[in-house]
Amino acid sequence: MTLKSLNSIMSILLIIGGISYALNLNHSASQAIFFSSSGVGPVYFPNILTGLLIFLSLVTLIKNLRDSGPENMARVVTPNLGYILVTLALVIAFIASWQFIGFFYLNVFALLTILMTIYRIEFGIRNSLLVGVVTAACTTGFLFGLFGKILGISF
Amino acid sequence: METFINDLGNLFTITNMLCILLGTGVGLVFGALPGLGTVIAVALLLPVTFTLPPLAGILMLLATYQAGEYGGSISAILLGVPGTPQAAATVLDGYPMAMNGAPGKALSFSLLSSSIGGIFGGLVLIFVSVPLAEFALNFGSPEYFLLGVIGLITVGLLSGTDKIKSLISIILGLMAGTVGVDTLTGVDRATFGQPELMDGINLVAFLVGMFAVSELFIMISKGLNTRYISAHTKLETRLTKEDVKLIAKPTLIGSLIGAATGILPGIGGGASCWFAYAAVSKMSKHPEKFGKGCAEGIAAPESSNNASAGGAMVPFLALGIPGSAAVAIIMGAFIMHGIQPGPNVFTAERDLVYGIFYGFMLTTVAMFLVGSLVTPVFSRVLLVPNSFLVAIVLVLCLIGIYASKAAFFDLWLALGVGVVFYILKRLDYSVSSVIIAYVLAPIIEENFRRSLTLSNGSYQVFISNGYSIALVLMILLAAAPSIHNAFKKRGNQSASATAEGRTNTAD
Repeated sequence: MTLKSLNSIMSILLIIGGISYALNLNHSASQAIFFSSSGVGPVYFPNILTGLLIFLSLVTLIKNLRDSGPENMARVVTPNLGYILVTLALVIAFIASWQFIGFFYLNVFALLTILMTIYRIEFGIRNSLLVGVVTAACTTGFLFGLFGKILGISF
Repeated sequence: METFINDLGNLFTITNMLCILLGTGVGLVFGALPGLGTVIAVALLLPVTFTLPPLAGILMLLATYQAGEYGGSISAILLGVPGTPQAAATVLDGYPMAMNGAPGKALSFSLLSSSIGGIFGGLVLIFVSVPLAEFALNFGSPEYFLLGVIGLITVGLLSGTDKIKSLISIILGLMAGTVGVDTLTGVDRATFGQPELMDGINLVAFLVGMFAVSELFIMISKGLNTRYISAHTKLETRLTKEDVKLIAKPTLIGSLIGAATGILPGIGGGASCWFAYAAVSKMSKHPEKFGKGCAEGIAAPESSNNASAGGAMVPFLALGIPGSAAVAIIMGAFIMHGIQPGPNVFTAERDLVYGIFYGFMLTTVAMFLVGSLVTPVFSRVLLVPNSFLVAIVLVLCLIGIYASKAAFFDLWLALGVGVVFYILKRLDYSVSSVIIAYVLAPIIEENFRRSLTLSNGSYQVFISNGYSIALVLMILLAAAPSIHNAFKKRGNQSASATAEGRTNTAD
């Protein structure tokens, strides 16, 4: 994907976001009396913001579409994109597991071990797994001591 | 005298001292590690302040802020990689001095000038905040609205290269700040049916997602097993009388420039270090020595970035306008404790304000003492690769977010915010503008609505007296250079396009 396309998609998403914000805002506020005697109710200021966001996003979109310079046409390269996506997937799995199953410290240990093993995979699976397990055990132990024992916070 | 002793009594408690030490340690480590930096350190410690008394929590964040400003110079000097943007100018002379066989001395120059800059910034904070707050008591709702706009315009137009994207960032921050139940009418706004959003977007989740989570993705992108190599194993840090004399003048100049630029919202330490470096190199009798390991070239930017920390606290405490992203997060700690910064805080929370004044000095002293003791050890921290840092900091972020409200919704929110802002950062949207707009949103909206209600919807209320006219002029003055540059750029582009067209026709 080129920088131009990414910029255009972001501008369109911002416009859609602005419209849905305004729709939700005006729908919920319509249940109440939202105009004071001066005409300045709870949706007055947010509606101005929505208008400005849509206007500025449109300006950015048009400006971007007209820009065919080499910088804007360059491909967007994300080094280590695989690692970013794996991290994101693991964090989603971690939060879901913690929310629906529980066992916070076990989840922390598993997350840290997997993350560090994957991050250090270039040093060999055995080495990275060993470093991952040891670091995860020490970190989880520290967190348990700090939050579970000293501060008395339960997760 | 009695009140002064009472203020000191409030300050010197074990909790406050421990919090300052903790903040200093965290600030030094995060400041020193390239990629993390002061803002992430302050954001990460923000949830901890929930459980602390207001003064202790705020002093912890201030200590982190101060120490982070110095910490950035450790990696700048030893590795040639600035730990924070504020330490970028320090690389020019700090790294060559380290390469010339005096890394310890370079660190000592940095620590001493940072400490003097910090003390100077603290004095400016004490002596400028009170008169400014007294003056601000003359302001009404229209003036507060305009002050908020000044904060937004200066930060928005000074950060980021694309001004329209910076303005969009401001709007996004303001929109995020309006989510939740409207305090004046009780109407819920843009909550999308989520009860967790009734109290507004959780500040900690929003901040940590925006700064820390997105930054962790950037760190992964930069390389996970990059190991910075420092050749310096033994650091001789002692300075002689002559050394101290050598940096006295550049430190004073740097402190003055730092404090002055810190007071202006939006400029902060990132720019002030370059202003100070440029000024001192021009005033120096030996400008040819700059860039080759000159002590003055370390002292000027280092004193200025720490002085700017004190300067940035002035508009924050006196007017309620944060001067930088780190101060905006500190403002978050105030809001979490139900305290609104501004001129009234000097009477409503007198003990807290004076505790911050004197505590700010104490955080500088702590930075000097801890820095003197542990700088040689901290240079070892630089050897930790990103694979360890990313994993551990990520877990700490998630714990911090959950601990703030015990809501899983906030974890999902922070993750979403982190992903969105990772993309927005890559597209040159300004994160600093978003956060400053977010914390200023309630002040701006409330005063905007109050002003219009009082004037029956007439916008003339914003130019109804001398103060408001002066503030409108300040807004125009702040915006003028950016508008002028935009037109100039456009003019140059069309001129070059015309010239290109002529050349093609001639061909």
